[in-house]
Amino acid sequence: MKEYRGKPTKFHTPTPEELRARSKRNVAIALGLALFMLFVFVTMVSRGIIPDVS
Amino acid sequence: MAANLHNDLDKAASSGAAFNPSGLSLAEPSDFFALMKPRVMSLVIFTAWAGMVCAPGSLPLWNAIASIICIAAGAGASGALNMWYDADIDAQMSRTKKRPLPQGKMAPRAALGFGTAVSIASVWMLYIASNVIAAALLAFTIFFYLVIYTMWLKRSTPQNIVIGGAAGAFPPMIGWAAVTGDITLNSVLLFMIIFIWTPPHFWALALYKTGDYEKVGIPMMPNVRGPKSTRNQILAYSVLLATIAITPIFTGLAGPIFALFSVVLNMAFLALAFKVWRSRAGEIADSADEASLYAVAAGDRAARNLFAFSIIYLFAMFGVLAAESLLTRFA
Repeated sequence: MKEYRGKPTKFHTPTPEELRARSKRNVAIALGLALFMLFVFVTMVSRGIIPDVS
Repeated sequence: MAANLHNDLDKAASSGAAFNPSGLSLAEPSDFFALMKPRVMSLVIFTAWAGMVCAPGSLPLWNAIASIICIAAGAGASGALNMWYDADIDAQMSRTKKRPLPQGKMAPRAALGFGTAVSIASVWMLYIASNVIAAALLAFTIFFYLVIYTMWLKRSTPQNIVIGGAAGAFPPMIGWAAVTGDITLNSVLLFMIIFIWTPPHFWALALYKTGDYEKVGIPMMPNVRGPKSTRNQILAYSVLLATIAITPIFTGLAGPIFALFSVVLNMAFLALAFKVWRSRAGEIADSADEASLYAVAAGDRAARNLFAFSIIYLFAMFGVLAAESLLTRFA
C-alpha cells in the first residue's frame, strides 16, 4: 500500500532562472568532487600513503 | 492558501532566507565563491606562501601547493561561516549588503553547510599534505574566527578586531608549520606583524565607515571611544608595528634587503598614520558612495589613504621577506 500522508499535492514549476542556477550548481558540485578526489589521491601518493606503482 | 504563502514569504524575508515557491535556490557557483571572501583569501594565500618560503627546510612542490590550497580553503570556509552568522547585520550595512545571503540568493543553512564541509576537508587535507601541527593551527584559526571573533567579540567589545585579528595573522605561521612541523620565535614574529597591523588597518576603514557599523550596533572603536581616541590608537599601534616589523633583522629571519624596505615602508606607514592623527577623520558624515571601500568625504581622505596603503604595506613586507629568503637560498 502506498503512503501519501505528508506529501505535497501542489507543485510550483521552477522558473528558467532557477533551473539554470541549479544546473550550474550541479556541474560545479560534480567538478568539485572530481577535483577533490584527484587532489586527495595525488597528495596521498606524494606522501607515500598510497604507494606510487608507476 | 494565499495567506499562508504570504506568511511564508514574510517569514523567509525577515529571516534573510532564500525563498522561492519552487523551493529552488538562485545561488550560482560564483555566489558560493563570494562566500569565501576572495579578497581576504588572496592575502591569506600570499602570507601563507611567504611563511612557507621563509621557513628553514623545504616541502616537496606538490605538498607545498596542496598545503596552500588547504590554508586558502580553510580561510574561505571561515569566511562562509562568518557570513552565515552575520547575515542579519550584513543586510543592513552598505559595504556588505550585496553579499549572497543578504541578497536572498541562498538560504543561510546552505552557507553553513558549505562552510562546515570545506572547513573539515581543508583541515583533514592539510594534515595529509603536511603535518598535524599545521592542521591543528588551521583548525584553531577557523574556530577562532568563527567562535571567538564572529560570535563573541565582534558584537561585544571595541577591542573586537584587536583580539580577533589573530585569526588573520595565523596563515604565515601555518605555512611555516607546514614546512617545519613546529612553532618558533620567527614564525611568531610573522604572526605578530599581521596581528599588530590589523588594528590600524581596520580602524582606518572604520573611521570613514562609522555610520555603517553604528547602524547595526557593532561596537567599533570610532563609535564607542570616538574618532579622536581611535586616531590616537592608530598612531600608537603604527609605532608598535614599526618596532615589531624591524625585529626579523635581529632574529636572523631577514637580512639587509628587508631592512632597507622595512624602514621605507614603515616610515611611509607612520607618516600616513601621523596624517590620520592630525586629521578630523571620523568626524564627518559618511561618504556619498556608501558601497565603495575607497570613496570618502574630503576630511576622511587621510584615513582612506592609510587603509589603502596598509594593504600594499602587508603585501610588500611579506613579499620582500620571501624574495630575500629565496635569493639567499638560491644565490
